[in-house]
Amino acid sequence: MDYSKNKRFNSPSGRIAIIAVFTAFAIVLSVIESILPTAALLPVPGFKIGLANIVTVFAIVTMRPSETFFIITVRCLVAGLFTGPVSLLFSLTGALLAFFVMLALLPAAGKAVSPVGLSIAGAGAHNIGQTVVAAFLLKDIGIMLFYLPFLLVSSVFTGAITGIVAIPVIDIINRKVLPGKGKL
Amino acid sequence: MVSDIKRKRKIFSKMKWGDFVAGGLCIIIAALLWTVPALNSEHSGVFFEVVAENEVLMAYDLIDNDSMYISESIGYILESFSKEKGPGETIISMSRNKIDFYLIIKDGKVGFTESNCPQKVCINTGFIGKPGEFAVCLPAGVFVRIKGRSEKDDPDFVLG
Repeated sequence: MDYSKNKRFNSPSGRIAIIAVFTAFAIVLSVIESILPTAALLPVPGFKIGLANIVTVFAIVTMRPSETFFIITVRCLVAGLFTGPVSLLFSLTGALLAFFVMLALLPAAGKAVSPVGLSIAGAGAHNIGQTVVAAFLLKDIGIMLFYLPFLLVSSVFTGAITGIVAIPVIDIINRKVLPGKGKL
Repeated sequence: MVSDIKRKRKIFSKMKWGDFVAGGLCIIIAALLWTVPALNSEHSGVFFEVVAENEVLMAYDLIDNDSMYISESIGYILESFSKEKGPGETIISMSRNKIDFYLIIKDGKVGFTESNCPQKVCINTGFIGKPGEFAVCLPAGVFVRIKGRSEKDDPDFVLG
């Protein structure tokens, strides 16, 4: 993966700008998601479509790991201001676990897995992470065994949706928004 | 139209075998977890427990429609607690972390029916009555679980 051939976004200030844009993008998607009545779709606590995951998948494929880590952490902290400390704990743990799983799969990206697979694995990891936090908060393991299957099956669908959206987003941004040699 | 189909084909042509492995793995783990609570879900006697801070605050028999046990520490853990027994249904009102919620016991089932929590997840869980089922209000940090009364669930002795 080669991220830094584009001259416009190779300077420190250029990269700060691009990181800020994607962080803002992720925050907006998080806030939109918190407004959506997803509980009516599947009445399981912790169920989300994971719109902000589109930015994470995009960032992990095209940007440096440290930059992706920054985008995820800031997105969770700022979105947490809107949703409260309990939701912050869930989303931060889930998102960071998803980040590490996707990072581990990154060498296989393009060969064995596409962004869809990355996204599904990330969604599954996110749900495992947040269910572990729920089990800790409620001090009960049974809750994990009860809700996790629903969340894992749902993560196949939500992960696929966000992954399918991420493919053209990655493509368009690399070809049109940021023209130049190599990737972002 | 044609460009639409082309675009779709492009997305799916880019999918790799690892994608199906990732999806399959999620479903396999889900299926494995599903079988664990399913092992002990066939019971006749049914009651529910209200749990917060690792403590069973109360137990309530769904068949006899009567509370079996109320913890001494319920006053410390909950901000308010009251029970109202009506003709068709019993309403238990509780509040914790400034969240008010009501447990309605009706026809051998229990449900969180009203609450001022922001996400309204507990309401959408609806009525539950099968052993192993849960209803949770995460902002309040309280959950309700249905248990089956059987010899298997009762410990022969308790240590400590």
